[in-house]
Amino acid sequence: MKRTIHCRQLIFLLLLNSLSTGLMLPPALIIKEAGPGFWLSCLMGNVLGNLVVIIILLLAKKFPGKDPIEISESIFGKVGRIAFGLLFTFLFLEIHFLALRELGEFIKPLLLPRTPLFFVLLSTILVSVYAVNSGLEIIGRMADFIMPIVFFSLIIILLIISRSAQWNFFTPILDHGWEGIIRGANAPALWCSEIFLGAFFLPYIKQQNKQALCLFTPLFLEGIISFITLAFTIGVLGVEMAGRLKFPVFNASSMGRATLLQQMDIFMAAIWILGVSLKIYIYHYVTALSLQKTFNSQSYKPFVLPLALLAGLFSYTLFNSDIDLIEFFKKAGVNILFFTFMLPLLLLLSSFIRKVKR
Amino acid sequence: MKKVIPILLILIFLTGCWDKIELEDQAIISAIGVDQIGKEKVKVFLQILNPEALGGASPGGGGGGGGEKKKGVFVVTGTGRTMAEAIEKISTSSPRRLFMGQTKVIIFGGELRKKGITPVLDWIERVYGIRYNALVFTTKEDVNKIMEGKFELGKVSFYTLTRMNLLQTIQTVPFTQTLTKFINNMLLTEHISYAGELGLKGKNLAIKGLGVFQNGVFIQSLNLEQTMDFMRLNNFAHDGIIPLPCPNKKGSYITVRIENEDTTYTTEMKNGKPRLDFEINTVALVESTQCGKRLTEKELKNMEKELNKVMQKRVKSVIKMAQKDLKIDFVGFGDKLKRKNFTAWKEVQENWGTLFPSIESSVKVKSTIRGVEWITDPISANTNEDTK
Repeated sequence: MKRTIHCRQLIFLLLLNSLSTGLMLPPALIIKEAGPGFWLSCLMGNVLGNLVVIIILLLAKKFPGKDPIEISESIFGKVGRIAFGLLFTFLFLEIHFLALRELGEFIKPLLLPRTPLFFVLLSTILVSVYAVNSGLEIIGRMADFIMPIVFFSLIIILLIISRSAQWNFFTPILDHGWEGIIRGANAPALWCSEIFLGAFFLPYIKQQNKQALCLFTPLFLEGIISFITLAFTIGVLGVEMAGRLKFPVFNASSMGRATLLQQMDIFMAAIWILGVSLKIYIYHYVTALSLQKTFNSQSYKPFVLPLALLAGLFSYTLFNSDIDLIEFFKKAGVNILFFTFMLPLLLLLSSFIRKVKR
Repeated sequence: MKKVIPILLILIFLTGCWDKIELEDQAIISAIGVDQIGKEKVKVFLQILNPEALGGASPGGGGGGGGEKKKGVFVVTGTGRTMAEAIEKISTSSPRRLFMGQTKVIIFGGELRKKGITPVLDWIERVYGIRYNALVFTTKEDVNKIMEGKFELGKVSFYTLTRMNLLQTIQTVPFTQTLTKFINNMLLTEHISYAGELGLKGKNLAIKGLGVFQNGVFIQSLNLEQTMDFMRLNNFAHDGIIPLPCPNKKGSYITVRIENEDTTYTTEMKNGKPRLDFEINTVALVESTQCGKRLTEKELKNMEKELNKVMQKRVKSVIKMAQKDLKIDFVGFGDKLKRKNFTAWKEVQENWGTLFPSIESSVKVKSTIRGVEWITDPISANTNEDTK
């Protein structure tokens, strides 16, 4: 069966993928570090994301129709394929279980306080296995379905909370210094560089001539949406308060003062549950796919269930508490950037040096 | 079979609300009051809605048919070394589960605010359910009295207070603080935060002004006029009335209503000392006059000058209060300087506390009286009294 995905679906997928987790834990980290200069941090992250996209596009131009693992095979041979394949698999698995745990940490205290975390994770995993087994088309169509819900919910929330926002927080930009802004850029750099995921979907896009459009659009939209959401969050909660909360965007969304439509936080919960679920499916799919490519296997499906169990196990056992997860996030930035930025760059540079024929 | 299995799987997730709690089983808390008892213990007052009495009618509107007999709210109390302990004690005697999600009002009592509210605040912002748009108030009266609320206008205190905030019925004080703003202010440069001050006025609940906290400890309360001027300095005042004395008649007043107001400021460094210049632009209407003069254009111009003088004096007195009496920067000069001129702020940041009382500032008021409502000539202008 030939796998295909529409360009629009890919844009939605990549946008939801980084936006869903991007608006969960990271806003607090960004605002805490960068203060009123939060938008500079976001901008820096976005620039890095654009660099990643440029690298991916250059690679795709040199090796049309190939994903990064196949490219590494054409450059370094079989050893390269297995080495790079395993590295990428590890990256995807890491983001996969992080997203799983993040969803769990959000659902457990705020929505289902008396449900064991284990059950939350297990039910997500089971649905994920089903979705990934159904293939890329299903995930693409899910993105089509989820995107409008997320978009309109976000607009409604922002409109309603805008009344209680105060817009005097933009100065002084350098309140926390350049150092703070760069430290704050960690998180956006991480979520923007997740656009690297697009490299694995490029060979399956229906409109092969629109590759650049499919990758730059989600980054651009994501920059705008995250800026607006963060600005509203700070406007409603205040800079200091927003930096102290675990999920500031969620708390801000419950601050509406309209009489009829109060407490819109449930819309935010819907956005996150849909968005992060989708993210989990995407990463689950890509992990399985990269394992298939690494071992040149016939199908990715045999890997789906074991990977799900592995990710569930990691997400359940690796972290003691929510603080543990947040501290891990602070450290994970550089780690993930190595995979999403340095490895593709390495591939690109070595492809120039070794003058590979395709 | 392959199609049946997913459907069966879905069934697992359709168990519904198996641990639901019915409305009658929830004690819906509408207001939380806290006060200090002795040295170590806090006393918590929870205002719990009585769903039987509130059925159908709005809680403030008299409670409908049977409302007279049943109370709209209960107030339950508990004491403990910490807030959590006090709440726990309340729940041991409650047949219903305490539900914090609808908390609209938080009141800090007189003894507690002297000792510092920070320990209590931590529980409030951490606990599951309380939303950060709850309104924060403080009072020196008995918290229980305010919470029980046998008032004539607006029978239930939480309802009165939220309506006041929403409709801004008290035009002079729309500066009620939400929990998030309160905490956020507490963490800004000067650690100053504000909460509306509640008091009793005859048989009614009233907002008396503003309570100012530093590091969570109460330092000063402002009366309504001072609150107004404080808000004016922070560009929050967009309404309210100002009485001006008549130039020709002692004991008579012209009252103007502020229609629109905008405060801007500039900063400047002089000999290593910052300086703040405020400019207040006001548009006002004549609401009433007792001066007995025809309201000519010339008269209005004179009135504007008088208004400038009065407003300037009032605002300056608030600044003086901060600089001379309290020596605490509750007017937010430091924060203003920081926003406008960050490099200057960095220089003086270290010893701002000692520098603040001697910071120079000026207030310039530019007012425009835009109209006289419906009447051009006051009654007294046409009586003989005036022509004498």
